[in-house]
Amino acid sequence: MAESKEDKIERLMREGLNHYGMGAVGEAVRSWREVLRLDPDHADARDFVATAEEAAHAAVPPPRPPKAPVKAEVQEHAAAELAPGEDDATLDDLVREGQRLVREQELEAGLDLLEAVARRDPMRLEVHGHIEEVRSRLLKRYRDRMGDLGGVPRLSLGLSDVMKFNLPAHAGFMLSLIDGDTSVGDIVSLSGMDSFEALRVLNGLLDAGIVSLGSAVRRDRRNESVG
Amino acid sequence: MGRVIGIDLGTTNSCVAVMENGQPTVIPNAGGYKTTPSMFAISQDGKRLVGHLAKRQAITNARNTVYASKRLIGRRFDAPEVQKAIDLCPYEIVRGPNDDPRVRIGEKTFTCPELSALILREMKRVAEEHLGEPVRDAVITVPAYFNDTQRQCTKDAGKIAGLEVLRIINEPTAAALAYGFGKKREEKIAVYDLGGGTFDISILELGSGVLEVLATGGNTFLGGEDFDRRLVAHLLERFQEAEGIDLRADAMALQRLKDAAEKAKCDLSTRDVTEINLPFVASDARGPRHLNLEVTRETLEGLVDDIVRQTIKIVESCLNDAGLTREQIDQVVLVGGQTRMPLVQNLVTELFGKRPHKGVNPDEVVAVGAAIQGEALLSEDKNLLLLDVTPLSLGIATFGGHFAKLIERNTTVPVRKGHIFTTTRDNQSAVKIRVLQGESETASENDLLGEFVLSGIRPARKGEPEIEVSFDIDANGIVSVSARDLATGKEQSIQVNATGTLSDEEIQRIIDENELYEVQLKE
Repeated sequence: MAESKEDKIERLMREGLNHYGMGAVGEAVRSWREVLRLDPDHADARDFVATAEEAAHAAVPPPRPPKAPVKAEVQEHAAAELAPGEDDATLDDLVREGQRLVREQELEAGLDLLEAVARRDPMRLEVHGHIEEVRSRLLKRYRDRMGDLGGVPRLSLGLSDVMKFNLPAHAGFMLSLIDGDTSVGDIVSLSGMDSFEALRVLNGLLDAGIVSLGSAVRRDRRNESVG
Repeated sequence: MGRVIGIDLGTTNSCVAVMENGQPTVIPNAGGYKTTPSMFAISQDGKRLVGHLAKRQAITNARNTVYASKRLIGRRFDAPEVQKAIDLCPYEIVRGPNDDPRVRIGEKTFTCPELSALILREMKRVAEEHLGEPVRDAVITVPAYFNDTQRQCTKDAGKIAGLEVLRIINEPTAAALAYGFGKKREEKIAVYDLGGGTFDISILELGSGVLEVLATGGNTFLGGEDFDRRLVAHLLERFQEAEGIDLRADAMALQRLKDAAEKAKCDLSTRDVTEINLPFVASDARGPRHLNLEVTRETLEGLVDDIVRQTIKIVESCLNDAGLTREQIDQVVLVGGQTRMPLVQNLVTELFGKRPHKGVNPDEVVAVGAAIQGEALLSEDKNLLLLDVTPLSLGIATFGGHFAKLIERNTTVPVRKGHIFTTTRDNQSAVKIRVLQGESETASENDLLGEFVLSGIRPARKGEPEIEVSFDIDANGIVSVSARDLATGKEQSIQVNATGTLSDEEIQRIIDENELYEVQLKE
């Protein structure tokens, strides 16, 4: 039985995401362009091609092939853990929900959900492709917000107010690196995290109003002792 | 000639000072700190970090962060100090082609002078930013027990960093200079130096403008960082008791704990109690967990008392080596940030029966002394200039495995001395001159600085040829040796370029590589 146009588009979209998830950006773009040839108004295909081409021009690191699953010791985004016992159909629904959020530009929420699915079923290559595509878009958004990474973040709230938030440990670590002197670029280097993850955490702190961006001020530490 | 900076190139922290309007000024870095951690790292994203930035990720990126390379510089790879460092350090120490220890970070291997040069370059940059002019000349300090190879390697490091090293001086000498000692009368001075990573005790005798090191002692693996480790262990235990969470395997938490412990330790030098607050240090099913603990001075002192007491025996042994009692010590000087701790100051007072001098900041005093010496060299003021001495005896290996001293330790430098040697076999046509530094009468127990061969000796019975061996030590304590056959006039000489030091070609290669890196950064 011949493949219908809708089935072919769905297959090509999935293949494109699989390629993108494996770091084969060129193959991914070819699949999505084929979708656009079949349906010039396909919004997802158009967005995915734009993201991939923009990332290539901006010298953003290429998407990473999926690693072997690592047991997470700390919950990274508390909202996005799945209850035990989800079957494939449920995970399919969650992937579609994640894709919907992404289409509506709720990139972080969409990414959280897709990452939760990937943790549950690491063999879903098309989910990895989605994740990498959303990360590329988010990385651009973070960099646009933070400029050339020379800006200096500062705490906007007192400690007692910060303690009211529900932050994971690596956000606490990021907060400990913010001293009103160290630039975003240096904080990313000091964090030891993947630069996307570091910027993601910083962006979260900015969104929550815990931190604001400014320029550096030279301090006089004459009265501070040094060990 | 422009300004001369004085640099205390410390094991854990470095400091730079300069004379301004006749007064020594310690120069703060861009962050406002007057000392800079002697640390270098390559971050996960490939950025080179020096000083405070390197320190702030030393635990989360331990494998790629180098500290205390001063413990390695100028030593052989098989030396006990290097082997101990290999056991303790998280970064990789490998054997270099000259049998010297080198550090591998990722694909790149660094020599020890190169690592020291990275710190020196940072101190040079700090000085230039403050002074608003290029800086070329420097006086750099080293421990009194550093041998010729270690001094040469430190000089090489200065060269790589773009500095003309006018003088290498001993750290206790610099400390004594900072306090203005030695101008008026004869005095015996004890310099108690407890820094971040090492403990050194030096007994000096000043007289007639000459500063003589009578004895030194110490422990190169005892310092303030051991105090920090004890406090971190204490905090980990208390947090686990309170929250049921073990943070020992959490590098991010450990980094925060280490930084907080060091700050708390410093606070407790002036306060009786301090609070440590680390919000969101962990999380579990209950949600975020916070560390909020109070630490008293009494608790800290209880944790580290045995470490401080380890210095007692070392001091007593050093006094014994110097042939002095504590009553004969006129002045006691404190060096190193850890000596700010009241427990340490009380112990020093108890040990020597007198209060130590602490008018100059103990973590700045060596740099201040180096700056004073630098100014004296510029102005050629003989009143200010303290002559230094060679710290170790110098000689050659002779027949039967003996050591023939040509220059005794504590001889004022510069100095030149010679002695006539002869052959040990009939018709011996060449002699091998093995240059050694140390105090043992057995050649093999001293440090080999270098060796060379003088050939072409005319056939003669043993004992007849006359070979004049001359030693020349310059003001930095760096050695040149020559051997001359008095019959033929044939001569061979070396500036001792012992195992572990870099050739001129290697130094230039490193300079070129670092310049290339600078260019890449600006792009």
